Amino acid sequence: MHDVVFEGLRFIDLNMTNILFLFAVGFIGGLVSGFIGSGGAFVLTPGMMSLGVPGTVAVASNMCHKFPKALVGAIKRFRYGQVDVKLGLILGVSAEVGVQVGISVQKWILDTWGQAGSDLYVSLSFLVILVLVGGYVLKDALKTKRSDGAEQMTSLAKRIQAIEIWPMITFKRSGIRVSLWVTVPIGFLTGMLAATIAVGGFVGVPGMIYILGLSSIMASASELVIAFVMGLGGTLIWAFYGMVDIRLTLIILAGSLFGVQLGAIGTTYVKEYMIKLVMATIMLIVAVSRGLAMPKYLTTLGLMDMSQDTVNMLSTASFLSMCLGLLIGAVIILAAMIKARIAEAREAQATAGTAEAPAEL
Amino acid sequence: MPQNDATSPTPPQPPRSPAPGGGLHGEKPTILAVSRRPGFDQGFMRAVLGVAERTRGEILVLSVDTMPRAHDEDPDGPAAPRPLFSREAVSGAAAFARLAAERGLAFRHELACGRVDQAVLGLCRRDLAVDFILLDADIAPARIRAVSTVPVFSLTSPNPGNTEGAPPDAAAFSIWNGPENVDPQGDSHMSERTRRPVGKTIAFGLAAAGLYALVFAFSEQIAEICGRGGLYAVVPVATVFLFSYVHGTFTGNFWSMLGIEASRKQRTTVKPSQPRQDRRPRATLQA
Repeated sequence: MHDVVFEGLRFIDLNMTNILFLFAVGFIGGLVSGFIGSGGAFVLTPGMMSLGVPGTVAVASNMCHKFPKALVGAIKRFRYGQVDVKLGLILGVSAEVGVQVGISVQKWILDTWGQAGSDLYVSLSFLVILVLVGGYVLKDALKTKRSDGAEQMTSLAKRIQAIEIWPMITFKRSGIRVSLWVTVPIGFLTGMLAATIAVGGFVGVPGMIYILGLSSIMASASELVIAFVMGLGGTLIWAFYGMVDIRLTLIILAGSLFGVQLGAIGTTYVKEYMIKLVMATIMLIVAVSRGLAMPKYLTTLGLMDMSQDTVNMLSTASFLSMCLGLLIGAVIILAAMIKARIAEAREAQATAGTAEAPAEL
Repeated sequence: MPQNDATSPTPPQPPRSPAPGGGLHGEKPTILAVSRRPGFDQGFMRAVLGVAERTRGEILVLSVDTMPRAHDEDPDGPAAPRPLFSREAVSGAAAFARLAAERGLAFRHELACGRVDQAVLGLCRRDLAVDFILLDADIAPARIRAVSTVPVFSLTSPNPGNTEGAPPDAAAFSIWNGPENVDPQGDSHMSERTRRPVGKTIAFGLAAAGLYALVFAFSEQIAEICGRGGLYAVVPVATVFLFSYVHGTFTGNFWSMLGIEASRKQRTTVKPSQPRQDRRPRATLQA
């Protein structure tokens, strides 16, 4: 097992360019994760692989940086009163089960249809889930934006909360009381998706918002607790097999801890629909990215005929559009945050200016 | 004399329980802001307006003249605020009211004289809508607390722990009552200049840099240990925990040092709602 790592290390030229690339991607990924609770790490695995790191080492090192990042983000947002630790832990445990099942499904597909089949399954999962969920989240974000910006609990969430099946759990921080059996599938699917496309939050956060009835702020913050639980469990497994390259992990962590703090701060400046907007934007761009990668797998499986040059071009476009999705998400977050800070500073200035008036009376 | 009977203290009543939706008495809490100065300090007004904006509360300002003159015609009769005090208080209240109106906040002003605690007590007995009390800097809160049935907060107190109970929006209160919620102008006695954590940032930055230097100086050995797997799995996990603490503290302080901190407004918007009531039938004992 340790040969695998050193095989990876031989390929990596950890020059300044590579370090800066990983640091920058870590920072942007951290920023997005701190803001929407997840979604920042999916570029890192292909990013590391593009530097020559073997896939398993890239996945393991990525996973190993995710849980401390989630921990720092969760602590930061807990201080803002945004985290439901109890809900996060309960969902995290069921997500852990989902991860194990997801890995087993992946393994079965890999054994049955080979690497191309597995990649096709991953891309199809990406496409279906991201288009459906991302489209719905985008529609809802725009609807909320057009109204007064205040979020409303969905009728589905109200119906779900009315279901009384033992054991009922009260989540005081979120202000909800639901059956445990409602939370389990959400956590399970979050784990399944995390094991498949590395971003469980794309299901977990919308699940908490639309099914459990949490606000976007609470859902995205509590997702960080789930990410911590899943990441810690996953890391222990990968580390047990000696797959973690600690150097890569620490470089990414260096950038992502800057980003996750900034993303968490950003949530206190923006309206709640911004979280949905950023999440939906990233999800839909990533869906396009995965769509561009599909011909490669279909060609490998003999289901499509396409020249190698075209396949290569589409693969490159796929990776670049994935990076672009993350970058656009980060730009939206920073722009919204800067805009809100300027507005707040102006307001404070106006308050100070008008408050000085009485002294002259 | 205060427009209340400040001379007949009554024992404190038990605290009222909060009503859903903001204040103790309804949707909008009433904030009683007490000053014993004739005019109003800018910082005082800013703080009161800030709390009212955050809680969407109504402002009731009480100006207490603690050195009233005796009644001209009846020295033993009720005292009255000094004319100069009254004029300045009314003038200051007019300006205060304008600021409140600009923010769409309801504003009332009352004049009283005598001891502050008795004046507050009298007003609270007349106006049962008061939900919590903010005291100007130079009023000692101890006596007010002794007679008040609602939470009392001193604007000078840097420690939120010295409050009795929590205001309707404790998070909002902490915005200016906590150590990081200060007036950047630094011109008010109730505020202190923002302390940027420069020392902590440098200390944790150096520690993080040292840890990184150590890991990369021995990168091959550490990577080899991490690559062994098995029980050595704790090595990378412990390493990232250590880095997340040291580097995480550094990055948090780094943004604070640059002045990039959480919005004071939005921090108050995240309020836990009440969970749905448990409507399951309960077993009852019929004796």
